[in-house]
Amino acid sequence: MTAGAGGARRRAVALGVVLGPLGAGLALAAAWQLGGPDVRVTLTASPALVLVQVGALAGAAVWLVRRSRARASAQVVVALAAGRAEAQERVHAERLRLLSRLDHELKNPLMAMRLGLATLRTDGGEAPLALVEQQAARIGALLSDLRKVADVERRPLDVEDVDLVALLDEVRASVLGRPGAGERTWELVVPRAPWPVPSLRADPDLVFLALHNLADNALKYSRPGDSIELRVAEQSASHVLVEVADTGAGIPADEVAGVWEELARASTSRGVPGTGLGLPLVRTIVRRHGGQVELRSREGHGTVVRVLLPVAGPPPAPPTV
Amino acid sequence: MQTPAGRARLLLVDDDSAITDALAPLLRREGFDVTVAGDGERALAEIAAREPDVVVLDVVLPGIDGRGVLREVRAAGRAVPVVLLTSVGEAGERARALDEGADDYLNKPFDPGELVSRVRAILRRVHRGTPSLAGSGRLRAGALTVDRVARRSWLDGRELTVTPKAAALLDYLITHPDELLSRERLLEVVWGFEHPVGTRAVDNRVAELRRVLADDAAAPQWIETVSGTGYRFRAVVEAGA
Repeated sequence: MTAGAGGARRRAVALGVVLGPLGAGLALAAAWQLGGPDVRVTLTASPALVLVQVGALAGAAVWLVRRSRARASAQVVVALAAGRAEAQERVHAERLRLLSRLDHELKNPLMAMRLGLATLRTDGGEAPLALVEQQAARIGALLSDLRKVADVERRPLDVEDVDLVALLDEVRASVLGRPGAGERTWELVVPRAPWPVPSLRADPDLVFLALHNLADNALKYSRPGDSIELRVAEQSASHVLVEVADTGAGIPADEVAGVWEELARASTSRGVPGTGLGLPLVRTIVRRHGGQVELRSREGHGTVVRVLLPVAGPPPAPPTV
Repeated sequence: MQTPAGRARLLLVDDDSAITDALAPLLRREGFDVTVAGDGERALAEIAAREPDVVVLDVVLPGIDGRGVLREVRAAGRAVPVVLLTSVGEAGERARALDEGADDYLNKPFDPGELVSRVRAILRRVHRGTPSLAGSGRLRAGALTVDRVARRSWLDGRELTVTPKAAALLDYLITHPDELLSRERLLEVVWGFEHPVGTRAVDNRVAELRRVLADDAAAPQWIETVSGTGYRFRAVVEAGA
């Protein structure tokens, strides 16, 4: 903000410096033309002197232009450096939060495993064995999700024509097989008029994974009797909008922004299994397709995630090194 | 090929004793005669001295890493089957494992049962006298030819157009003929993740391969569905042009 205002002020001053003398000259000339005596001034000078003066003026002009350019580029460098520092700070803060969450996510299953092993050593039995197995599976799920996020970030996209309506139908069929899914009302909302939703260029497996994650979240964070809607529509000539909406538990307002961070879990998600990597995965998949994703939620009322995807497919990949 | 007692000799190569201490007894209980090597040099020495029936080889090793060991083994003209234990679920890693002639590979952490079933499948193939297909750049199964390096395939001389994932799936199927391959296993091989929601992706790619191969799922010539489990490549595969 302040950098922008400062820049505008400097540009205005620079314009004044250039246009001020020009304006004053024009005003004096007009006054002389209207009211001044009718005289002509003739100057004589040696061509050598004229050449010296032209040379000096040209030199001064070039020097002025170069100086202002150098100043401008110096300002750009300073602004870029400030931006970079800010971004670095943000990344650093995110990294610290991630590490502390990772510590937390590993601490509990490890603790439980130690307790299970201690019980096994003294009392033996099936229960502590099952506990250790469960906790190992928990760490395994976390690792698998972490790897998936890293993999989806880098893997080449296999782009083809994707029928989103058919894909959403597959997502619904797949989620309906999960425990508790039959106790929610599922609706696939697809407009037919004025024309069907166009197919889009995308990696079908990754888009499936993203939409399945969203549908699975809708299931996990809703209660029996709640409604879940999977909606798809042509947003514009260039984009298709997919929405996954539920009448579930919702997310507290001050936690909505944090849901996209790795391993972040809203306070309302306690007791619901998950690694906190689903939404970051969704965001990565959508971003790699050149799309956008946003989440709106009201605690106690439900959540809607909107995914906007370009019909033309992902932007060209940056050249690989 | 095997010890007098009929136990297959298995060389387990991993530098982490937490893995070898737990895995070696498990493999012994499964009936293998297990030797452990903790680094690449020792692995090469063991392979030369004891000529194991199968090697389970971790990629990350001090000194010569697993890939280096595999390269040296193949360069020395040894055909000993190798299961590579990779630690990164990345497509490039798997493609490289194939290029360097690993017979199979598993991503760590893996289910020990899966390792046993992979090793058994390899030993069955060796027992049948079928040579390894892992080191062959070009494979033929009847009218189907696959150039594994260029990832191109032809049916009756006509080139097939398939998506990259279907090509990767065909590569794995054709190098593991007559083996029952679970959807989860195929998903891990081709996509690198083992999430159960993804198994439909395997079915879709199999459908794509059947389409281009004009294969009838009810009376398959190429890819057979094993009900409720996965798939099996039925055709007889041979190396070479």
